[in-house]
Amino acid sequence: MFLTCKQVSNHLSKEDYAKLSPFRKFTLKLHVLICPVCGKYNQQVMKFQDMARTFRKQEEDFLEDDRPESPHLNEDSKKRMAELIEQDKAS
Amino acid sequence: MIYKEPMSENEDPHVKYETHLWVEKYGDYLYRFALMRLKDPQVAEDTVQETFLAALKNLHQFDGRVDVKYWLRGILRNKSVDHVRKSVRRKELQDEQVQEVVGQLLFKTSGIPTTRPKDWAFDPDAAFAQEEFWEAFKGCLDALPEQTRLAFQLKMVDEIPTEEICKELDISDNYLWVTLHRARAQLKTCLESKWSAA
Repeated sequence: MFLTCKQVSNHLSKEDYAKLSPFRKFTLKLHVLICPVCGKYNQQVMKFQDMARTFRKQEEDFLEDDRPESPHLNEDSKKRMAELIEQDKAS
Repeated sequence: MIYKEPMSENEDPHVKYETHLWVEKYGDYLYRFALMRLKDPQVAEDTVQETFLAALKNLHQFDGRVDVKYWLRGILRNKSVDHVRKSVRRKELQDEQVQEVVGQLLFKTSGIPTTRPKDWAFDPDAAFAQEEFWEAFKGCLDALPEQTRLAFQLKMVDEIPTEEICKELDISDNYLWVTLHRARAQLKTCLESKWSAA
């Protein structure tokens, strides 16, 4: 019923938190909130997980950002790659 | 009953998946992804080219269940891992400090390397809402050693399963966990110097 520090750390390291049952999630959160051993450390791990998820959205915006000032392949490289694809198709 | 057109055996995957448009449609997107992972513009460009060629080679295996763009991005991610794995010396993979943490009693019993991490020097929740914070975050991520950065990106940003990362990087799950601990510690120090001072 109750989780050990090792189990909490394992759930967080595998990032299977979202797949846990509501009760399991509750006990994990409770453990992290009150545990004098792993609580503080694992609270920070969870904060980094939030951070990484938010960053992923930022990264996707960066990848889709097609404004002229964002990084682009130069036209020669694009031409070369398109030719390679055509050659591959023909072969 | 919905009638579904049977797929022609002769349907050319080049036509079906519009390979002639790949460079125009996905080239810049993939290039930016490669830059995020590999940093060096020339290496990023070469890796995008390798990605297109590898995708053509495996086109017959592509079932179209995901968007071509994300399929290509997955191939590019694997290529980036290959590149980093080749460029990082074996010595770095078997870093003695990491082995030391894995062997500690605390880590063995509780899965954590320390009970007393330092408090945040700033309020992370308030920082998340500010665009400039993510610039700082990106800068700090870029400053991590290549292997550590890659482990963090694969696990925390891409959410690739642990088993897959360990297989790709040829490391144990404990080793990955400690590498992530180091990534977080270094990111925290960097963010505190960049963000708290701002």
